[in-house]
Amino acid sequence: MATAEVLRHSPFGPGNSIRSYSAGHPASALRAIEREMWKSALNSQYIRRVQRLEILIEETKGLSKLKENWDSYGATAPNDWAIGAALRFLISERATDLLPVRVMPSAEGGVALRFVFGEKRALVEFLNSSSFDVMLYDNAGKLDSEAEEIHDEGNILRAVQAHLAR
Amino acid sequence: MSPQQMLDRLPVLHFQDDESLYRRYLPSHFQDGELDPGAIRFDEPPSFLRSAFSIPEDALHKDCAEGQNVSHYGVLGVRVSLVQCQERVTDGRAFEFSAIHRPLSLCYAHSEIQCICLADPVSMHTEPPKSVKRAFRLRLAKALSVEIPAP
Repeated sequence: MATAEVLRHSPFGPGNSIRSYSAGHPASALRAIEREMWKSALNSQYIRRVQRLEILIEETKGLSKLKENWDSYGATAPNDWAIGAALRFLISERATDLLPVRVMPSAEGGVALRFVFGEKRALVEFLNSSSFDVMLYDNAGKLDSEAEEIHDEGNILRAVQAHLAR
Repeated sequence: MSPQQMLDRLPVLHFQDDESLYRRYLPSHFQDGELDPGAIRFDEPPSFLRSAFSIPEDALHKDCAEGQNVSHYGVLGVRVSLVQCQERVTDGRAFEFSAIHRPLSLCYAHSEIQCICLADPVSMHTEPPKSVKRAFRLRLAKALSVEIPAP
């Protein structure tokens, strides 16, 4: 969802002016309050997250321009399936607090999403072979065997969330 | 100085434990002092240069990069002893990772990390199962450190 669209639906958006709730107050004071609330909305964590998601989506789409052998060791460029699956996953994260810190090509051929939360790490790869792989681990290099149980693309988000929250 | 050429030399099978292996990296795969495990593939044996016959700078030379300009890469290094290991899967099969010397005519130091299933009578590189691959990619990502920072 574009930032402007988010704001349009926000209680502080232009179509929902607080002026209508505040009859009797001086107009200039109300305008000042409204300006402050707009600033607050623009700075809110939610808006920043939406903006960050937009950037990640654009970065993912941008991987389609990558050439073969992008790592100088013969890695294949991400194909349409890998990019599409990564985009689906990112959009599914819209309703959560979970966003990758980075989107990048995978040397295995595909798109890799890297998550960091404190000492916890996760790497989700959507591969050109129309499959995926998930690595759940920590900063000390210890693997979480929970990844063994993920057989369905629909379960990736829940598993990554659970791992990062542990 | 150019990397050592193969000339009429044969591969040297033995690696000293304190020998290092060098490999190029892109800055986007190395963040906050950590290599992303997704930066290395295992469907084919990953390439390195062995320090017995190279210096880290050789990894950025076109002769060790199939003629490509790789000046925008950095170089990572890892001790050989840290990559030699075995990983076992639940069905009991064991997979062994080890460095092997695979010299190229213009790049004598060229080497690879090979994964062999110990139950397989033909000792060829095999792509390890997911659980083994995850464990080794993580081990390697943790062990690699920066020799030459990416510009």
